[in-house]
Amino acid sequence: MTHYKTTVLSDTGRFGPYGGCYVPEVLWPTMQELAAGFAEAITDDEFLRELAHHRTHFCGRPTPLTYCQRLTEDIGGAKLYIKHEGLNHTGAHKMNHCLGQILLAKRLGKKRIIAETGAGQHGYATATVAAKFGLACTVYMGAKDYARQRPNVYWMERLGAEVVPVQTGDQTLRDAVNAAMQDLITHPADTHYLLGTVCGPHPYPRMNAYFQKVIGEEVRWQLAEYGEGLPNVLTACCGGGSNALGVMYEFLDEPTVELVAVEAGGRGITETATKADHAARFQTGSVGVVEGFKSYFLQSPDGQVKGSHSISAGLDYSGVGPQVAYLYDEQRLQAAYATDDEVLVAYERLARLEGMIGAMESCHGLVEAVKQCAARPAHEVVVCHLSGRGEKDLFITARHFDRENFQKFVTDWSHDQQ
Amino acid sequence: MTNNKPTEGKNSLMTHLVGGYPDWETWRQTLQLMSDLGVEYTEVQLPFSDPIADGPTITQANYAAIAAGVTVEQVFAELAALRGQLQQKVLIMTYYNLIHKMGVGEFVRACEDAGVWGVIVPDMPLDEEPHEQFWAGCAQGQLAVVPVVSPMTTSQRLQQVAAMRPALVYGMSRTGITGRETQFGAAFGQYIARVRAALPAARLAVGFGVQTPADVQAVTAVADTAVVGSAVLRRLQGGGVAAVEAYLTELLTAGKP
Repeated sequence: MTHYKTTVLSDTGRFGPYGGCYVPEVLWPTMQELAAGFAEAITDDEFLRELAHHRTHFCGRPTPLTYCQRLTEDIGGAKLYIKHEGLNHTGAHKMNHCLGQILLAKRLGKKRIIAETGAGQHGYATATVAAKFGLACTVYMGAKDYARQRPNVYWMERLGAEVVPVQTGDQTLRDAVNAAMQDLITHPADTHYLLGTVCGPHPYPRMNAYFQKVIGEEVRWQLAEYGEGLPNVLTACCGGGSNALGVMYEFLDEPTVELVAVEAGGRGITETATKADHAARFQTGSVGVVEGFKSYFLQSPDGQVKGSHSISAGLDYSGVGPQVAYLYDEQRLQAAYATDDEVLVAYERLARLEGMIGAMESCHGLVEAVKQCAARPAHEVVVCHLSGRGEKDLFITARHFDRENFQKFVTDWSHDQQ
Repeated sequence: MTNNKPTEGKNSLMTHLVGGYPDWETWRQTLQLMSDLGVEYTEVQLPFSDPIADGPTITQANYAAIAAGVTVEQVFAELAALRGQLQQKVLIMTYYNLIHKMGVGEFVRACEDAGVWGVIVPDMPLDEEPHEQFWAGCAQGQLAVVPVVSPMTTSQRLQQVAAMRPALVYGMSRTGITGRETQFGAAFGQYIARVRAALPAARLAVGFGVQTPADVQAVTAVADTAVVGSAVLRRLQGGGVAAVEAYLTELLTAGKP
C-alpha cells in the first residue's frame, strides 16, 4: 500500500514530481531556515502544547460535525454530514495555518508578519493572529481588490494591520503575491511571510498541510461519536488546496474513502488566450513552475499564467498546491468542478434546510456532496467540508438574491454621511 | 566585427531590456545602441506574467510587453535576425516556467540559433538541478548559465556554485528587488571579496541599485562589470533612445580619461 500521508508531509518538499523550492537565491536561506525551524518545532512538545492550547481557547476548536437530517431527506440518498469549519475563529479554516505559522514566526524571532490576500479573508486571519501575538503586520492586496473589498480592509485595519494596495499588473491576488515575495526578498532577516495556502516554495505546502490536518482528525472521531465508521466519500472545495488537504489528510491511506476536490467551474470551462472563465486547473491547466513551486497552472501554450474567474475569491487562483497535484496524478483524489450558478443554488438550499450560511468557496464542495448523496444508497456516508461561513459574502450574494434592496441600502447609507 | 574594440577604455556594463518593450522598433534601436556604445553584456528578458524577483519598473514592462503580444518565439526570432550586428554578449534573462514549458533542449537550441551567449534564471536554484537537468542541458549547448549570488549566500553555498564552473557570476549588491538605491560601503567590499575568493576563475557582474556614475565606479573598482537595469528602463520610458544614449555614455566613461 502506498503511504500517501508520509509523502504529503515529506520534509523533502517534493511530492512526486511536484513542489520544490524554485526561489531566487536571496530567498533560499530564508526558506531553509523556515523549513528547519518548522521541522524542529513539531518535535517539541512545548510547541505542540501551545498550538493545542490556542486551538481550543482562541480558535474554538473542535469545530462541529453536523448531521444534515433535513438536507439528507430532501436529497433522498446517502447521509450527509457537514464539517462546519466556519465556526473556527475568523470564520474559516485559514485560521489553522495562521495560528501555526505565527507561533513558528515568534519561535524564530521574527518581528514582522507579511501576507498576501485576494478578497481579504487570509489577510483578516493573519491580522488577527498578528494582533493576538503582538507582531507588526503588513498585508498586500491588489488595488482592485482593495477597492472592492472595503469591509475586509476595514477589519484588517481595525486589527492594527497596514494594508497596502498593490498597483502593478491586474491589481489582484497574483500581484499581491508578487509584492509580498518582493517584500520578503527585501527584508529576509526579520520578516515572516505568512503564506495562506498549500502553495508556494517548500516548506509552505508541507507546513500548511500539517497545520490543517487537524480538521480530518476531528472528523474521524466525530463520525465515531455518531456511531459511523469511515466515510464513503469526502468532498471539499479546492483553490490552493489547504482546506481540502486539511480534511482529507487523515483518510489518505484509507483506500475505501473516496476523495473529491472541487474546483471553481466559474461561468463554464471556457477561456481566451489570457484569461479563463473558471479556475479548474485539472480541467485545462498544465504543469509549470510559478511562484516558487511546480504544479498545475492555468497557462498559455508558451507559459504565461492565465487569469482565472470564480464567484468565490478564495478559489479564484491560477495554480493548485503540489500535494493536491500529486494525489490527482496518483488517482488518489478525483477533481470535480462546480459552476457559479450551481453554487448559488446549493448555498440557498443549505441555508433554508440546515440553518447554515456557507462561504461561496465552501459551497463548491457542497454542490458535489449533494450529487454524491443522490447517487448513493441511504446507509452510505458523505462528509462535506464546509471550510468557511458565508457572512463575508454579503455583497456578492446580495447582488444575486436581493439586488434592489441592497442598492437602495447602499445609496441611503452613502447619503446619510453628507 | 570592427577593428577598434568599442569596450576599450570604458567601464564594463551589463544592461537590461525587456523583449519587445516598449515596441519592437525602439527595442531594436536600443539594443543596437548598447552594442555601438560598447556595452559588454545585454540581458534580454523574456516577458513573464509572474516576475517575482523584479521591482515595479521592470514588472510593469513585462506586463506591457505581454499585453502588446510579445511572445517567446518572437524574441528569439528578433535576436536571430540581429545576429552578427551586435557586438555585446547577449544573455537571456527569464523565469523558469517559460523554459520548462519549451523544454530545456528546445530552449537551448533557440538560444544557439539566436546567438545567445548566456542565461540568467533567478528562480532556478542549483538545488533543483537534479529534477530539471537545466545546467546540464545548457552545458551541452555551450550556453553559459550565470548563477546569482547575494550577501545572504553562505560560503558553503558559494562552493557549490563554484563547482558548476560558471564563466560569469551575477552578484546582487544587496538583498531586495531591482530598481532601488544601494549603499556600496565596507560590508559590500567584504562580500565581494568573499565571492571573489570562492570563485577566482569567474568574471563577476554586480547589480541591484546601480544608478549613478559613482555607483558604476564603486562597483567596477571591485568587480568586473556593473549591471544597470531599471535605471536604463526609466530613461527609455522618460526620454527614449536619446536619453539612454546620454545616460549610458556617462556611465561607460565615468572615471575614465
